[in-house]
Amino acid sequence: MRDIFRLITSLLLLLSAEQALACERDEQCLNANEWQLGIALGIGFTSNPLVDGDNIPLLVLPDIAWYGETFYFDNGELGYQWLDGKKSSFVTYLNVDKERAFFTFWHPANILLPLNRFNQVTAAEDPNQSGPEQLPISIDDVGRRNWALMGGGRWYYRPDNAEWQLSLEKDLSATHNGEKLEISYQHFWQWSSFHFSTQVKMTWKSSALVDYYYGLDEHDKVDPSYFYQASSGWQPAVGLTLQKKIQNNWLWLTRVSLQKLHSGMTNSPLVEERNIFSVFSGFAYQF
Amino acid sequence: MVLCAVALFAQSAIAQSPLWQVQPSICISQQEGENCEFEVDITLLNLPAGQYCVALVNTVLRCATGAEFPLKITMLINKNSELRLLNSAQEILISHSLIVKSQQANMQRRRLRNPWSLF
Repeated sequence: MRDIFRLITSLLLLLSAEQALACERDEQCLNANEWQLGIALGIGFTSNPLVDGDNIPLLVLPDIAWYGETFYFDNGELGYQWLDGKKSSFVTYLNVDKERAFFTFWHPANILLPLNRFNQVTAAEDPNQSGPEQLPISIDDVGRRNWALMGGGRWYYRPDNAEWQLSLEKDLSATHNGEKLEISYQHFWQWSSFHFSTQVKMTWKSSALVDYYYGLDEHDKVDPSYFYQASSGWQPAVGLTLQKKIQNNWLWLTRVSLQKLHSGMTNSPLVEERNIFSVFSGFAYQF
Repeated sequence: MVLCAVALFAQSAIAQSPLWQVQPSICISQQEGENCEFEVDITLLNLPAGQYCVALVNTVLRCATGAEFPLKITMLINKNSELRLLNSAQEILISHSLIVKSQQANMQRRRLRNPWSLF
């Protein structure tokens, strides 16, 4: 144990001996101790994989970041940077698990709720129409899912024009007590005033996390035949971002991503899509 | 003999070339890019009597006769600049560099999340 501690300490000291490199890409750099605020207006959406789930509209995208010497806040993530080297960085952070967002935008189910209730009452009264297949899962019957506060550590490695990230995070709010492991590779290109980045990502979500959001049990007040215990799994994703500086603080921004969901989640009666697709295109202004 | 002649020539050249003393020449600002106000003492050396002007690059700050020196001039700059001494024909006689240093230089940080990644 002592040897492992020594090894980690030596490794951190060795890595921290590297000098922090001046930022090479404009969009990745900012002045310390200053807020960076931006707003993008455009059109886009993130698909919602839930049954009757409404797509999450993306019309306004904010960009909010502040970096001190070691602390930072970047688009909802509060963190502390332990290591800021030329090639490597290490941070610990707190952020909110975005899984809950799919339940927030479940509008159509709310609209259809009275009709669903009527159908259930009718089915219960008419023995000929009974059977689990005819009982829709109503948003009203599914128990409330809460936001979870995640805490974790992330390591960065930056070869030329690229970035590897490895992160491990855990629910600190005891909402679902789940974990998430993420490994991603991002490559950056620049051609004239165009900046491109492509990202490949693999995310592992623990069974506690997946089951909390997509599992169904007695708390959900649905017919027991719908009960489902969701399980852990890997979710691969790819993404592409294009930016073109127009003039002064204006830029054109386009973002596309596709995430494949694992069977332990998609087999849930609550989930009807196997992928999450997200697209946004618009004009952004950085203050 | 030759060495003595060279030394005498050099001495007379120094004595004749216009000289001035500007103090201080470094101004310390709080933040990089912030205006820095400082008062400089200007003393003329080896200059004949006459009218002289002190200019911050191309902006004349004060004109005075040689007898009115040394002068105290307050100025405001936010980046490295140049103080010039002009003669009555507005020709540059001497110049002196003024340097602005900040206590807290603007440190550039590399972002750890992708921009526009809130949603």
